[in-house]
Amino acid sequence: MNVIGLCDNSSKAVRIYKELRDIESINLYLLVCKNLDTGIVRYFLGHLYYFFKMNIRDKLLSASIILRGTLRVSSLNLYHEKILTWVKNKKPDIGLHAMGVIYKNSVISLFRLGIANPHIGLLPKYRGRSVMEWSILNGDPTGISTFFIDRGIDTGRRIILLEEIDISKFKDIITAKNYLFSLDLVMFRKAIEKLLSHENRYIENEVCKGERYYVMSKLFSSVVEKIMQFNSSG
Amino acid sequence: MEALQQRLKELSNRLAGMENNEIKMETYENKDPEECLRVVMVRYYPKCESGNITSKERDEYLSLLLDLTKNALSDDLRFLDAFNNAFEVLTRNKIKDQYDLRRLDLFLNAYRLILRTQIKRLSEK
Repeated sequence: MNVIGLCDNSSKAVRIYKELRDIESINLYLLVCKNLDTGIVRYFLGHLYYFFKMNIRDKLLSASIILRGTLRVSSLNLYHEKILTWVKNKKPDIGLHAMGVIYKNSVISLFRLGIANPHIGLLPKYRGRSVMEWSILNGDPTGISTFFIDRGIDTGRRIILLEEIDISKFKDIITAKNYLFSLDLVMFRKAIEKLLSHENRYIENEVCKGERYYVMSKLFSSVVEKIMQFNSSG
Repeated sequence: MEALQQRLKELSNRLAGMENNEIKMETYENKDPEECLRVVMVRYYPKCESGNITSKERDEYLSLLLDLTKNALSDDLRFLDAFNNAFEVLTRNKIKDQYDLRRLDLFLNAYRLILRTQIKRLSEK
């Protein structure tokens, strides 16, 4: 199985490599390139920032995987012909979403199975933004849904994994959210392992059974934090 | 409920001395509230939040919000929260234009009605 991690900085690429390199049945590739709407200067500054933030071991690791051809770092954007050709030549089965971007069909269609995205809300009910907060406000469980994306916002029909995750130990939104985001690699790994197993069955993302949520107001966020503080105190 | 009561108090202070417009619900109906909410939250709210909104866009933002008044009275809290968000960003800066002020006044009155209704609903639960 050919897997490509789509990243917007080397630090993310190295994280993915470290987590997934020991899965035997996959050929892992990593692509670091520019989003369509990111200026070249901003991209390079960001790139430098994340590169210098990496420890020396990760810097050496990134250099070694570049030399081995596993990691490609490019100043071109994702939709540049050269990048699309590079991706296509790898005959990828799965893409791993690690870029702040909504993909166009020209990219999605390059992946035989699709591009997997760990979304920090439980689908199909919670699509969109601030879904962790909305789940708490509505008294619903929180968790992560790893699914194959389409052009819509969390509307991809095939969910690979649905996992409820308890965040009751956290007292504030930012810490809880960071915790859920930090599980992206674990979810990628689980999703790949599930796809490699012969028992894989997708869960259908029945969009009609859920709603799209938006950025939560300060007023409601303060209510959510009160609920979190109450829950964390036992 | 406490948070809504607190917000209502804040809003009432803000409305003191302003025109008291009665909100006629039949004026504000929407055939596609989901799409209207999407446009409000994806197109206009971020612009208003970042301060990069023109007077025309703010007018459209307020107008679309008013169209969601009826939905914001329901138990689907996403619509109420669109009003919460708007209140938080619109009242941050002073609006000087008289036309904008009238529109803002209508919005604030609609928001007050929504908050009162939601508080009543919660207290009955």
